[in-house]
Amino acid sequence: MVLAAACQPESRPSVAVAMGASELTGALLAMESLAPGLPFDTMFRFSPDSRAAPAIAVAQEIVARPGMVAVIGHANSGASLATAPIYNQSEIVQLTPNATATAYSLAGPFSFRLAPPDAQQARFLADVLVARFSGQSAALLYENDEYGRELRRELVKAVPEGTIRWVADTPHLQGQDSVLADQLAHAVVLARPDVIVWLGRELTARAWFPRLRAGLGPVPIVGSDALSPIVMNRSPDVSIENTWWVDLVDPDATPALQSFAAAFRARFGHDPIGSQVLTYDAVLLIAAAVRDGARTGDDVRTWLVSLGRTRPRFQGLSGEIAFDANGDVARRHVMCTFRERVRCQ
Amino acid sequence: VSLSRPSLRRRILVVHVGAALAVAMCIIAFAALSARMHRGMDAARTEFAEEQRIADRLTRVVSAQVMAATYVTAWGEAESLNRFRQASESAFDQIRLYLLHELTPMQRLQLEQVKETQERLGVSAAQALILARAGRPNEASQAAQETATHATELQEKLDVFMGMRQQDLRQLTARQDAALRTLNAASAAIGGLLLIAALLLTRYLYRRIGTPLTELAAAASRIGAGDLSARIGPMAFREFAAVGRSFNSMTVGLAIAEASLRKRNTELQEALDRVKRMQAELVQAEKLSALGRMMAGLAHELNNPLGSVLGYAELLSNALEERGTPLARSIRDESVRPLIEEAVRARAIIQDFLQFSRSASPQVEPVAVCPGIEAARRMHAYAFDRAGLAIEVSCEPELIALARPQHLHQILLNLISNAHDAMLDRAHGTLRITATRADERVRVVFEDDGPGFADPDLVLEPFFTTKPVGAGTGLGLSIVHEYMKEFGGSMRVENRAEGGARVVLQFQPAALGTHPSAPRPQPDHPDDLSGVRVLIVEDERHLRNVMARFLRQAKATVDLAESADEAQLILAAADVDLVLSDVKMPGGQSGLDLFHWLLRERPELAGLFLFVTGDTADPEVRDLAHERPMQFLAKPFMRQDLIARVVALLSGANAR
Repeated sequence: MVLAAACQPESRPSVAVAMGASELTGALLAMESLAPGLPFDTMFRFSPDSRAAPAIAVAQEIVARPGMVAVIGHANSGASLATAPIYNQSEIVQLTPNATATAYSLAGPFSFRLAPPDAQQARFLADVLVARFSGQSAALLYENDEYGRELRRELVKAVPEGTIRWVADTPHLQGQDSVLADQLAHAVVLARPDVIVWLGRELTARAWFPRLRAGLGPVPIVGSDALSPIVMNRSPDVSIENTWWVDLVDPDATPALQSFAAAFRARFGHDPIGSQVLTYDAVLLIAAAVRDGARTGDDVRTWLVSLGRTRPRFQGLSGEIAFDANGDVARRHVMCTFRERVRCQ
Repeated sequence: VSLSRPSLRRRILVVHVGAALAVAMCIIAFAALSARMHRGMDAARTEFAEEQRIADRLTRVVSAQVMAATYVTAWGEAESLNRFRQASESAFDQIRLYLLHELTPMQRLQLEQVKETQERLGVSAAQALILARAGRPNEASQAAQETATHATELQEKLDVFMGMRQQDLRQLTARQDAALRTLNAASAAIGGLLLIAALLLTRYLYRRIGTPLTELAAAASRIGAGDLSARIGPMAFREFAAVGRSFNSMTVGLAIAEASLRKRNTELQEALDRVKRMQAELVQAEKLSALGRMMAGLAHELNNPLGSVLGYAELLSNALEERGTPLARSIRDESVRPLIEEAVRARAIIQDFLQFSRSASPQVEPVAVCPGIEAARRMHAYAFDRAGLAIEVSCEPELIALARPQHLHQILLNLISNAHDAMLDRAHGTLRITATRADERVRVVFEDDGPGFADPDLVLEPFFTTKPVGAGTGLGLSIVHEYMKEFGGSMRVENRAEGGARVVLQFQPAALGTHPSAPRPQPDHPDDLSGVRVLIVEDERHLRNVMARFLRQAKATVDLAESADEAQLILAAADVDLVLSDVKMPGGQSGLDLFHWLLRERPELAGLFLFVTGDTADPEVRDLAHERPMQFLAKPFMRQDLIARVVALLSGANAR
């Protein structure tokens, strides 16, 4: 039996990438950088939706694959939270580049992420709002899901009483019909806010921003990190003038990032956003773990936990990476805008 | 060998340790299983309780949210918004908590749908409020209806999810029941295992300990029953083997000890038999001694008057014979001779008594057997002829036996006399006396044609007799037996197959080169003592007169003295040739005193001093009689006895 096992060719571990289209580009670049020495087989699944049903279906497909040791995904907090129990039960590491929901810290020992939790982003956003718009009115528009509600709650909690006057507090959902969007946007316009705080996704913003600009003119829009993909899909119908968003990576922060951003722009025609850089780093992390001998999900988990403890921190494109006991990382946010290209501060 | 055997102590220790480990492992396994099941049940209960709380809160807040959504346009904006948001946030929190629980994919999907419906409800409710505030009642109402639809949908999806969880809870309860059943089964299995282990241990101990102990007990019982051949076979364990060896050693020791004890017991029994025999002999000796003393006194008292009677009768017979008339002869034959014969018989009886009473065992000496037999035959020849009986003697020449001559003579006379008496009623009876050397011994056999012994085993007992009363004392054969034992010989009495009695005497043979002394035959003596002066010292007047008349008839000169003192006076004054003295005499001095005086004053007469006594029981008298047998004449005596002895003494003195 031992002889038979020894004579068998060593099976390569498998790694899945379950993200939206934008994040898949980061993964693709990472794998190209590692080729031909990519130490695992890959499985790509398109999973942009924040709804649980499609994400769970993808997750079940992934855990059914033999030799699966890790999955990079999913694309947002809702999908990541919905699938985390499945991966934990299957003892497959889930490393998500951009899930920020606070609850993800409690998802399980096989759940890791490269983005800090929403509470930290909410405090960052609160600081920006107070610094720039103190005493002014603001309309709070949020995605009424795991991501937006969490952020909204933390932001309201983080903004000191009396500094910002909230004139609208309006939820929305991805895929909402245009009539409803018109009605709600009209209500926001009627409130005449000095600033729009957008805690929602870029796709919904595309429906809303023209309506808001039409009623409010070039009112400043401050968005959360889910708004960052808007730079990738710029169109004349959606003005992103005077629009700011939170991101996790400054493309100009390091020469490596600058080179990466230049190469990214040259290949995809736009600047990279934080989730793409973090997806790139996620692929490099899992590849390093497999190169170090990890052959099971638990091996990968152990390897990730050992970073900063028994192993040096991982030198990723986004900076040094190490995980705490909940699988979270320490990372600073930046506020970005677009002036010919993405500029962060 | 013993070291190669397993040790019972070690085996028991191993078994006990093994059993203890097995029991401990069973207990630990049971405890672990029980703890695991309890933990599982506790966790399940905790989870159930927590989930129940979450479900309760979720149901409550969703109901509140639905209520708020239903009246979202009826209430004031601020109140409605606050109520709705509070309920929404609470519902969202509960859903998120629920999502952290372990759910099946279907349940998770259902809960996600609940969450998404709840999200849509929140959006539509906010829309209705916002439209109402914007003064657009129709759109607000439409949004409110949509809100109610979402609320209903939320309620339904939540109900579906709760139904799923209830199904799970039922399965959990079933699993707990199964776990309890498993626990009970495990308890029963562990109990059964322990029972089987206990039975196996008991069987093992019974086989390994009980069986050897039973074997030991059986062997001990056999030993207790006296079977000292019981042995313990090879044992499996070192300890039992050691016990078996010790037991076998003990058994061997017991056998040796028993053999020694048996030997000692036999020796003791033999010693006891010897002691009993000695005791019996002592008793017998004491009895005989007392009897002898009594008989000696009796004999002494009877001998004197009997001597007088015998003497006078003999004198009368002689006188009648001298008269020569037919009447005198008739009187002598019919009246005096029977008197003499009866007196002689009485004397023989008294002599038997006296002989029996003797206890001393004088030294034996070589004695020629055939002359003794011939002398005895001659003495009884007349009696046998008169009775029509015969004596046949066959004696191997030169037979010499160890005996005392006088006692041998008495034995021969006694046995011939017994045969004569036994054959008196038989016509032509014959006594056959055969003397031979056989087996280094001298054997003398008496066979008669009489009726034989009535009881051969009792004839050697003193006073046992089958003769008519007055015909015998029952001491004859007993005395013969005593004599034979004193000689170192033996005596056997039996009845002959062809009829008659047989007495077999066996004597110790004399050493080579010895010179026998034959019993002194009664010498022929002349009846003329002319010129011989004899002093008779006798206190009994009749006896003194009888002796005096016997001697005077033999023409001797007789001086008479009634006591020793008187005798000394006569001896001092007269020239006496021979002194004839009684032993016991009244007054100061006895015959012995007179003898000793004579030894001092007239030593030339010491060999001419003839004791005439009816008692030789006195040790001093017996010793002196043994030393000087010819100088003792037992009372009563007949005339020829006295004259013969006197003649013999005088002849001896002259020879010297």
